[in-house]
Amino acid sequence: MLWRDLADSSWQSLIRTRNRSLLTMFGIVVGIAAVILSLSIGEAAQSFILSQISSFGSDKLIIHPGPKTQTENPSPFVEESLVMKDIKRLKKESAWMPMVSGEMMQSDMIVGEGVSKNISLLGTLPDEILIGGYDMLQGNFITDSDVESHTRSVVLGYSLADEIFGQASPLGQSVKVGSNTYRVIGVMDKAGTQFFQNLDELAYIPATTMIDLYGKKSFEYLIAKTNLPLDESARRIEDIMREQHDIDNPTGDLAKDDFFVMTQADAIKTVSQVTSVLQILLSSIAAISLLVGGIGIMNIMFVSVTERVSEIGLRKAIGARYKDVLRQFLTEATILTIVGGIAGIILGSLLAFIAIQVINYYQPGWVFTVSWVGALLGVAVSSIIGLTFGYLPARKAAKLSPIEALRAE
Amino acid sequence: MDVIKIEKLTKQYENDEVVTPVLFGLDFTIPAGQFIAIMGPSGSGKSTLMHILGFLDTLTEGRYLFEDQDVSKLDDDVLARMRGEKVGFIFQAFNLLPKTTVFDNVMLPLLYSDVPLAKRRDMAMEAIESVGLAHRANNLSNQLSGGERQRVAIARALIRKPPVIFADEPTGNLDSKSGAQVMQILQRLNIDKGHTIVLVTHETYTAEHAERVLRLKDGLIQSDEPVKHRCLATGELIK
Repeated sequence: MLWRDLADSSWQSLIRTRNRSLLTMFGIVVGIAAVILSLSIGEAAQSFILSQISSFGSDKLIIHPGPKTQTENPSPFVEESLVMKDIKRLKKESAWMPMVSGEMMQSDMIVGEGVSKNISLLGTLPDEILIGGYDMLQGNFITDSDVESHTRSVVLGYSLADEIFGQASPLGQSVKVGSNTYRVIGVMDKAGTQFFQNLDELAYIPATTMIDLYGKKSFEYLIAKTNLPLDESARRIEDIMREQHDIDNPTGDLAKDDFFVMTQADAIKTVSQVTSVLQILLSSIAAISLLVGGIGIMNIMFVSVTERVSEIGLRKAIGARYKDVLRQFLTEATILTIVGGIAGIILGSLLAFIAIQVINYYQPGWVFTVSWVGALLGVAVSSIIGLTFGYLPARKAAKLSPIEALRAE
Repeated sequence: MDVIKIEKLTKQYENDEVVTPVLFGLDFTIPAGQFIAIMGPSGSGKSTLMHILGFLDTLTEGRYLFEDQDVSKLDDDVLARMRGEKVGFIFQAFNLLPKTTVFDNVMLPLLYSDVPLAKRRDMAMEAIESVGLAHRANNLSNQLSGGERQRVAIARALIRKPPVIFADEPTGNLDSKSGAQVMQILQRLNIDKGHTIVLVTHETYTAEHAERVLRLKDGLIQSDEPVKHRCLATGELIK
């Protein structure tokens, strides 16, 4: 039997029973679309997270409180170990570590010009803007003297300033955060989302002021910029911090420290672990929907064999061999799954595109890409499903004895 | 020359250790070009005999020579090829593909042949013309009357010009006029084109279109004699 005849004959059979063919295909379309959708979103999530981490830069270190536990994950018990004194000590190493900053966060209500809003308040130091590489739109960032004198000065993020003051200049104006009044000394330029935080919605105050007003004892983490290789810098920082905190740790056992130093590479490693778990989870859900689609195909193929017994008998009576009938049914199943697979890839990509537009609305920075791995996997898996789930019914059809088949009128 | 030669043909069905004998040691031959009718009441084994002769079923004991070739020694693929090349079937229920044109129905056997694509349409048209349905070639099978459907089935059986055509109660589902048309076509295929025709029927009138009637009863040959007053359908194809 020629391949052209086979394809032609299978196609005509599918057309003859077009409603059933479409319904069967629908199962596969949904299955493949689910795979593409979840893989695309998974990939977009991964690249979003990695881009956020990359924005952090490769010449920076983060010092976290608490020891590094054995599983290489940060301790859930945050120790209040990183204090102003540590920053002052680290600042002395300006020869190889020109910038050091720290961050502490507090949610509070900001009120100004009749606008009130819940915001994140960031207690920080002058080097913060240099490390981040951000620009000022107006005025100045927090200065050393603000930190020294615990001034009630605030720097507003771009959108926050816009929301409260609109076109008017906020410089020198007063805003209330919680029960305290601050003077606006500067407005940041647009900085977008970095490290999962929309910087344009933040307000910055001197860390010392936050310690006074909110009873904070320590920083959530310190950031430093270095001009030495990261490994070398990390080792030096560890030595200094152990000395500062009176930790006797000559072997460098990280579990004994009350802090740990993390680089961009460490962060990527941790995040990759999380995102691959996410990918596995999404893929398994998708795999189940594919399986359901496959079982649907098998069901329909079995029904189709039963319905077409006399046709099979006729085909055998006019010269079809076992393998001709087998191939015809397998081809039908494969056409169904491949056409369904392609439709599923298109539908899945479309849904992923829409989903990412929606996510982007809430968290800018997500980029839509067609998951080629998903598309390839989808086509491969759907044809394999067609062949495997189509095989049993096809074999049943091919094995029918011609007279029994002809009698089944 | 004998196209079909049967020696001590025995057939029994075995089902769950119950053995049902159907045919008991038949002996006969069919010369090439003969029109033979096999008659008998239901249960006489006439359909089983036709299925064996048409390579659709296998015999239990004895020998079956088709064109001097021992059929019982052939494997499934060769039998399938012989079903395609050597014989054509016409069934009581027509067995056309639904929602498919007359043309495609008639061409169906060529799917399982080596006939090049270019020649297929001509072969199909020739077969369709020979049953007088050229004007219906592009109609769907479900748009045809019963008689027309059976003529399509005849065209399908003819397309590969097999030496033998088997017709299993071909007029069973037809009114008398359509039945007469079908019998006329079969007779012409026999007389004009020289096809050997094996007709299975239980109607004496239909059987009288043949040259010879073989009667079966309970799996044995009851009688085997020529038709004395053969019914000849002459003249133009009955419209």
